[in-house]
Amino acid sequence: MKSVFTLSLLLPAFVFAAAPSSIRIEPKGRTLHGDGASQQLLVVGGYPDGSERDLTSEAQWKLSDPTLAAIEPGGKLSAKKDGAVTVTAIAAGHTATTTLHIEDASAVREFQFSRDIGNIFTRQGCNGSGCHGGVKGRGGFKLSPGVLNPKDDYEWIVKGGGYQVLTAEIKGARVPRIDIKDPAKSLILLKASGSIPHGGGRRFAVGSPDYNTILKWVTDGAPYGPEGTRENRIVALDVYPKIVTLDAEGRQRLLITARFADGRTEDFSGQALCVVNDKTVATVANGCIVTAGRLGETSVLVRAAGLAASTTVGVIGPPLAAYVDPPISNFIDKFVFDKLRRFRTPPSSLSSDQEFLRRICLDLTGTLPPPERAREFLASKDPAKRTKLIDTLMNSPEFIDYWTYRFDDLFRVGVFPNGINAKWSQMYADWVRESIATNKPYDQMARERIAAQGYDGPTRHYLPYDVIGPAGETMAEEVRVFFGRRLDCAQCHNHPYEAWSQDQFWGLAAFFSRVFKMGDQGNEYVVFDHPAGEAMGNADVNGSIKLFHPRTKVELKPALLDGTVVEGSARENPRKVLADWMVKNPYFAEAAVNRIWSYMFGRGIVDPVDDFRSTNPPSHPELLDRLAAEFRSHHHDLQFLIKTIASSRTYQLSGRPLPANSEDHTNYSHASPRALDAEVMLDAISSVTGVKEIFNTGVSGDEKDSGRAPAGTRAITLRQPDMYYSRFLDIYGRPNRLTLPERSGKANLNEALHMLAGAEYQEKLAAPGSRLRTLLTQAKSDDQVIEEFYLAAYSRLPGADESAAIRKLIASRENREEALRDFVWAVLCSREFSENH
Amino acid sequence: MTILRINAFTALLAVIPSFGAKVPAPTAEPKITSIYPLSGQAGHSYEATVRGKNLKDARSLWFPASGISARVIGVESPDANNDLVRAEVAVEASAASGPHQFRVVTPAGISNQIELGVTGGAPAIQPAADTAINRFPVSIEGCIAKAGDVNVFPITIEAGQTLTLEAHSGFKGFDPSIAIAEQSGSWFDPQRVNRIAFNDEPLFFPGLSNDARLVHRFENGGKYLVQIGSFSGQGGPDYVYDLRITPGVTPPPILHPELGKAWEERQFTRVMASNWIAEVASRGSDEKDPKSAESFRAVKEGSANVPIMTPPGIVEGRIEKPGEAHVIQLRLEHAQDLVIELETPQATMPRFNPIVRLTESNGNEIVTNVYTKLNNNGLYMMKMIQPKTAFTMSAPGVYTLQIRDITTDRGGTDFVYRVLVRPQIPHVGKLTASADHLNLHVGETHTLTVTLDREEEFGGVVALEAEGLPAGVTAVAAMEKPADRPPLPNAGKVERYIPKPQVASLLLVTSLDAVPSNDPVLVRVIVRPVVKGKLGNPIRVGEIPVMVIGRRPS
Repeated sequence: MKSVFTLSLLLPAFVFAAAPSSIRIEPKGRTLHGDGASQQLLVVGGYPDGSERDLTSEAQWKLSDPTLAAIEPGGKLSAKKDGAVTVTAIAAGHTATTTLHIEDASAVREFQFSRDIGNIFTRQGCNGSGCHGGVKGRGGFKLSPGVLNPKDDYEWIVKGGGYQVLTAEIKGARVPRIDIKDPAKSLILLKASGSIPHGGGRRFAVGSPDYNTILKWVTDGAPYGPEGTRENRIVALDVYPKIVTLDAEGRQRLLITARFADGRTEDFSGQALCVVNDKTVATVANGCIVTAGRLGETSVLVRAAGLAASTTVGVIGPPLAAYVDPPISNFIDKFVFDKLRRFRTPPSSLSSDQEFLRRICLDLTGTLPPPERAREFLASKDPAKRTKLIDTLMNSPEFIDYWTYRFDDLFRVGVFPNGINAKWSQMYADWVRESIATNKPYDQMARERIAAQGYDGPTRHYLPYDVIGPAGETMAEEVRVFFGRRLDCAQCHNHPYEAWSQDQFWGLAAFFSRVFKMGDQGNEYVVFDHPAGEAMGNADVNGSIKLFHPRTKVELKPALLDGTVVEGSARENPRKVLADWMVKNPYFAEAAVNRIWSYMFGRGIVDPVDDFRSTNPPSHPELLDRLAAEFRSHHHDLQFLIKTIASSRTYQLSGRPLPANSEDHTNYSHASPRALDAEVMLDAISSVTGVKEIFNTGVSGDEKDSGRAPAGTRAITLRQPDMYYSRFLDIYGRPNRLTLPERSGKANLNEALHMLAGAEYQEKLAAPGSRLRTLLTQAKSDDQVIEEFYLAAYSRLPGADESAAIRKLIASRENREEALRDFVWAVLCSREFSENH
Repeated sequence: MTILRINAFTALLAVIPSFGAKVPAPTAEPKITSIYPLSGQAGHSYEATVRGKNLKDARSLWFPASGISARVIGVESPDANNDLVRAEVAVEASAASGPHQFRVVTPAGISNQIELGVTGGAPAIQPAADTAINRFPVSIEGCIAKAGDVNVFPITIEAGQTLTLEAHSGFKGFDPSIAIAEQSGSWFDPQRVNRIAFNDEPLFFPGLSNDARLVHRFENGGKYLVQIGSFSGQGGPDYVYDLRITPGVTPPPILHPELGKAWEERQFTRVMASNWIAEVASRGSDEKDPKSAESFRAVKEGSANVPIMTPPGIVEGRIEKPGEAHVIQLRLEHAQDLVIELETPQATMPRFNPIVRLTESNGNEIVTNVYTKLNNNGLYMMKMIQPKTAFTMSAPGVYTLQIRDITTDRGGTDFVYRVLVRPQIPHVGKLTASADHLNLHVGETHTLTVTLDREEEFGGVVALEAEGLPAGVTAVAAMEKPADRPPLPNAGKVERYIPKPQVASLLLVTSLDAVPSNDPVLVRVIVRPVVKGKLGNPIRVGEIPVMVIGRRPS
């Protein structure tokens, strides 16, 4: 990224945006509630090139009625009494207004420990994971990250003690952090103010507002205050802007808004902790004001009230002189190109027909187009040929083969993951295939898998090896697959970097705690949910189906992420409730669209695709939201989603980068090359050489000792792939599906060696019946052979220079067949072949 | 010196090539693995080849049932491990359709048993690969000759026609699959054959057949391909099958485990007829005229009026809706030993998995048909539903019997249950012989072991007999060292669910002057429980074909 922007700076044809063409105030139309309510306002300048800048620091403010509110020069408005106040901002010769409503200004707000004291720890970074918010705290003092558990925090501050992983009991001497008799001598004040040595340094000064707030609290007897009600709970943090673009030395104040369960909002700009990921790109200080550093892109993480949010910050060069907006095919392009424009990164041109042909065939079917189809497509003048090809491919049997393989991978179809029973694995595989072939709505697939009972295909995924997996692991996998989130850390302790708590983990895990299998002979397992209140023979062995919190030892009940306990009847399948909740949760659709997107682009809008977290924000949050909304409104139709993505210009951009976008790897300015999956690669080699692969169940390949997949079986259509030995597939990264597959696509030394000695790169080249042998038998010329292999492998014709060079090489060799074999080998070993671009 | 001696011995062997030929070499038992063609048409004769081992000098094919005979034409040994018996098989017109068991008789004795099919009216054919079949019914005889092979048969169909295709395996290790495909091509490959229907077996579950069955309605007429493959891709000359293609829909298979001829009381699908209790009592009980069961119907859980039953009584009903539970009250006038028996006459495991629980008025569970034990580590509970549970009720009172499916998401009109609650009747349960055929060498002894399940605390004496032994063979009682069985760890209340087995043996003694048999004889093995001091009625263990064969060389 750096070199692009550096290069941009050197280009002579830049036009500097001199003055804004308009200004506006953010946020608009807010309502302030309660005593002492305030709202940070921003003045946003809009420039002719479409860019925006924060002009707050240079704005002048006026209020329609100064008796209602007061406003500081920095834009912070404080409520005085009820009414509607119009705020006018003047900046760069422009004027903007907005009206704010003030309600219940005289209502005294009750003290709440979590909000009034806890948020100080968040803002000052005391309860971050690197400090007292770490798993076991720091220096004998533990706080929950981001005031996730205010009651624990209160206990540890007022009475002392710390967190134990395996028990809720306090061990060792308890040292209170406050001194009620002499509040100013409270450890918490002495340490934080640096009055005595503190490993974390000075967090605030004696006499500062935060110091005084804590001092007053201790002086008042250190009350806890009332618990927040359900309606009063903060459910989300919003950050404005979602994407920040800064010129060199530009500044942007972030507006942070807390959303409550009852729909109210409150300005949290002064109460949040803002941390920037890459401090060389930007820095953040003074209540979340971001200042540009070097050119590049980073994110700012915002924490408050136990929640986290983030925003993307791009430090960009001056505008390009001739930024041409590309045509837009659908809404995807709007979001992608808008960001590119804001980041002053031009998109590459539309892909060539040969680029598109090869890419779309591989992405939709995992199959290379045969030479005759490539010729036909390249020669066609039909302006709608791309759309028609997408439709053709999506209606092809290869589409079903390929997407079945994709979901076989994700859903872990295999002999060992499915009870070490090939028949069960087949039952499960049949369910996946049927789901894909009938374009079953994805939410229905999820419901069928999550709530599976009985002896049907999807129940088999609850039998890794031949046992029911631990509830925690099973839940974590469902969440990772369908929510794209990793809760695993929270199994043992509150997640150190995210808002996931141990209680949330085990609450969700409890949905799976009663999953049971019936049978013990190894192959008659029926999956069911053990009734909660029925012994069903448990007393005979003093057994119990209860699941206990590993730390508090409290019996767990199924609870959703928001803490809602699901009290179903004893014989209800609790996973049905969970499945229903999951597919309706926004996480579900966004995780699904992100996953499909990653299959088409090689990286997710959130990447890795199953690692949604506040510290890993989406590159295009609005696009992700829109894709998810479209997916939901189209009844979770996977084919609709795939077609929408494939039809976008973004997807169809060329893989040839421009000088100004060559370093972009996240904003889709050009197609990025991706290594072919092992299975697709092996099928491609078989396709180019014309020699089908033989898959044996035994290592020896001796048919007396082993089974063999039917002749012509492709790697992507192998039933139970873990039954079939393949050195090639193992070297090129075929996952064993014992855990959720993660394909790195990174080359390794074994691959290089295999290219030199592997059967796929040697024996197939000129085997009887191979493409090369056939062409030789047909007495084809060198040019004809070269053209045929270029079309078969690259879906394009060779350039004149390429043909000439290859002809020259062939002519220089005594043995023509040997020379052509080497040529085919070189084609198979080329990056152009082994990547989708 | 030693080397010299060995060399001299070797030389001697070389000059006397027939050394040892006058005494038959020890011969291992004959074993057969497959027959091809697997099926023949009634009223026709055809040549078939039986594959196996140790079949040299095979004399005949032995069919215990009437309707089929066979004449051995010759025996070939293509390699050291395989013998082929060529035979002319004659299927009488009156032969019953379906499988017929047979064995091969050789001088080394009688072989194990395999099946040969009779197709009734359908011609049994072995079509050429490119000949489209257009007349149905038809029975195609085939073989997956090599690993990875898929046999393809073109068929021509009229639009709207429905066919039932059934592939029956003729080899124990062969699990056939059927696919219907059409050469409809694709954008990538105009020759691509696309599968439109597939079946590996109607339901994979222990006790059920792995044979494939596919019913398909062809919307469009024309040419299709029927593909027969093997599930795991294995193949070989034993992988024989019979593919029957029948117009219309043939009756679907009953997905119940196959019940043998032997007595069976621990299968959900055994039939508890109206005389069931009498049948149980006839197996060694001293109860002459046991009371038969009265019929009851349970009601849905939560109903206001719950009926009352008394033992012996049978509750019949169906769990039509998912999550439905049925209840009935059980009144006991006194403490007593009881049995709960469960029959699922229609849907059964793994579709319908019935749970029966007997609870006190406060909801406490007294007994259930869910046998629960711990795994060997004592860490995990393992549960199995049982068709029979024997237990003791120690107090009179009114209890609740609850019946439901183990899942909460399954139900159906075929989720039919019959729950019998009756007093315990000590009796002889299942009887199992250790062999299904015997080859007795002259001058030797052979042990035949019978395992007897002592049901419901049956404690009587049982006599064991073998009737119809060949001349020169006598049976005497034998004692074997009892098996050292360690106590089951964490086995829960195993006694409720598993009968106590007992093993007894007969020693079959073949005298030195016994004459080797040309054909096997059927020996009937029975037990007779002693009831009130008298030998009771015989209870069949089984009929075992037995041959006396030549003296084993010393």
